[in-house]
Amino acid sequence: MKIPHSRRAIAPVLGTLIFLLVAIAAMIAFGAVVSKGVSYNQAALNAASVQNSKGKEFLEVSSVSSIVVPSNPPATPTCPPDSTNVVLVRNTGSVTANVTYTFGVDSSGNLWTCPTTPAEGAVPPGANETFYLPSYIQNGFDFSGVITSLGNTFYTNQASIGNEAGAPVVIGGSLFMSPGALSHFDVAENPLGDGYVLNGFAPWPTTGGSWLNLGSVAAGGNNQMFVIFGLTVKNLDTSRAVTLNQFSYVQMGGASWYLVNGLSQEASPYTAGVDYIPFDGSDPPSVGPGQTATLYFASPCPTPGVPYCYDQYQGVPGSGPLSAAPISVALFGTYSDGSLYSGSANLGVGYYTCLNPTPQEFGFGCSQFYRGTDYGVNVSCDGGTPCPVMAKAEHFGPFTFDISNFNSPPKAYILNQDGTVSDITDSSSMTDVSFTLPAGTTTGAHLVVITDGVNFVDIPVQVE
Amino acid sequence: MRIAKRRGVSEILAAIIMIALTLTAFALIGPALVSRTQLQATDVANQYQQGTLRLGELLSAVYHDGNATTLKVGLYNYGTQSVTPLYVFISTGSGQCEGACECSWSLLPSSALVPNTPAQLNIGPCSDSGGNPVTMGSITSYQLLLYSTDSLGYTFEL
Repeated sequence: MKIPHSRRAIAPVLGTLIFLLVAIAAMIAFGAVVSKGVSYNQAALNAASVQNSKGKEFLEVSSVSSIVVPSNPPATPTCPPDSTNVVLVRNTGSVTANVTYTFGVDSSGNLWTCPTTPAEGAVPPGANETFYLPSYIQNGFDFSGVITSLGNTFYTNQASIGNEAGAPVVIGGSLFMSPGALSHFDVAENPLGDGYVLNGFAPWPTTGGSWLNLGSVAAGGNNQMFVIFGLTVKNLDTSRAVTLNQFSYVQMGGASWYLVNGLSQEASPYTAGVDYIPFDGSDPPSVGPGQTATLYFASPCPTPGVPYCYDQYQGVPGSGPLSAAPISVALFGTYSDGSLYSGSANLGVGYYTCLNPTPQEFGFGCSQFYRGTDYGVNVSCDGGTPCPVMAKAEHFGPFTFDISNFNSPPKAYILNQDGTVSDITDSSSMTDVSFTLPAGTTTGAHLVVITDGVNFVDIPVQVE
Repeated sequence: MRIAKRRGVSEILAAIIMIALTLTAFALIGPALVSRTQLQATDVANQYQQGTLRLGELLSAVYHDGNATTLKVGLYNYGTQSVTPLYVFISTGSGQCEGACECSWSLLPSSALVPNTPAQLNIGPCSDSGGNPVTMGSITSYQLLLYSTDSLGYTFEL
């Protein structure tokens, strides 16, 4: 039994070895194929997923126009933080969209893009988000929009929001929401040689006056300027409530601003930039039909114990600010019927210096002016006593009047049609300062400058 | 027992001969078979890999500007693989480029369409199949045909 067994042992061993060699080679080759096949299948699944999601991605992109237009725009754009062109993106699709780039195409057909950061690029279904386009350039962009990670392109449609009933408009630095087209302000050099002016191009309807409160808070012993802005928003739509979703700002000079839920929540500033607006304590804020609400925002103060201050431009006590810069804000929200609104405003910053604990608040409002009609311009002091405002009209056409001479007792003046001023009262506030624009008054955008000779507040006026 | 012993020699010889034949045959055919099998497997794997790469090459058009002597097209690579254009053709469906006109082109900011990066493709001048130059300013609507270095074709209706 042992002999045959030992004789036959060689063949099975060799056969097994050969079989194993062939099997190993085959398994290696098969494994490589399977591995590549798995990768291929995964890529196919990914591609199918991308294409599937790609078809579900729908964004509505609306521009707030160029809320800050430099007086001498460059030929080539720049990206944030230098850009101030804001667009609102609303995700009307069923999948989260990741906005990877914003873009603008100039009049020569050249493409200019700005990447978004991953953290800010995701827009869930139903959500709104703001992004910055490449900055304003000479002649502007022929068209602009956003690109998503799925390769979809969505173009900016300014008309979709601007022509929508209930669209917001900007009046004299106050932001209104009312039926009509989208409005915007442009910032230019102050013709009086200091700071900036706001040139309004708002096709806004007459709304009557409202108030933009430019205030400052006290900081004893500190020569920094302290400013808190109160932006009054009035919902002129009488049938729909509006929920404000987002707030964007652009600060000339790069200062950071924080939203404040009224002065009572100064110690808990919201994150700078795009954030919810704490409106009258509700979050997200909501403004009922025909109602008004005030958004407060301010800059953080480095001084311990002082919640907010504006320290970008320090002034010397008693001499006023060394420089001034405006802040542009944009608000986005949704009406109760789901339609969007957006609006923007430029607010003067640095025009007020608070060097003592006495609060100084200053408010103004204006409405649209028509030739041959009497109008009232409301200029009042909301909180400060005394309110150092005096007025005189220098000329009409282009319509400009200059309220100056802060050193005199506070008074109110009538701006006469011929440009002269009549002293009407000694008061801490001026209300209903009436005048009539002559029939030949130049139509278009004009400017009202309120100044004490050092500080300026500018009110855009549209004459039609 | 003697008969069995004689048959044992024959069995041993037969086994040795069979082993020798098997080894010789395997030595001659085995490498070729293994090589061929591996080659075929590599081909299949490469096909899968190429397919994987191609599935990762996804392009979309962002915009096009067709009113200038140089056509400008914004392209966005939303895939995972770079795409390097090799040839660019346009087809207008009628007129001089009814078929397809080959065009010179340049790509900004780089020569390849990098994933998740927009690029601008400048097209022109173009020439028809006879080598005659095409009047570019008159082309406002066209089909863009882009062939990449890895033999993929992309078509955009612009």
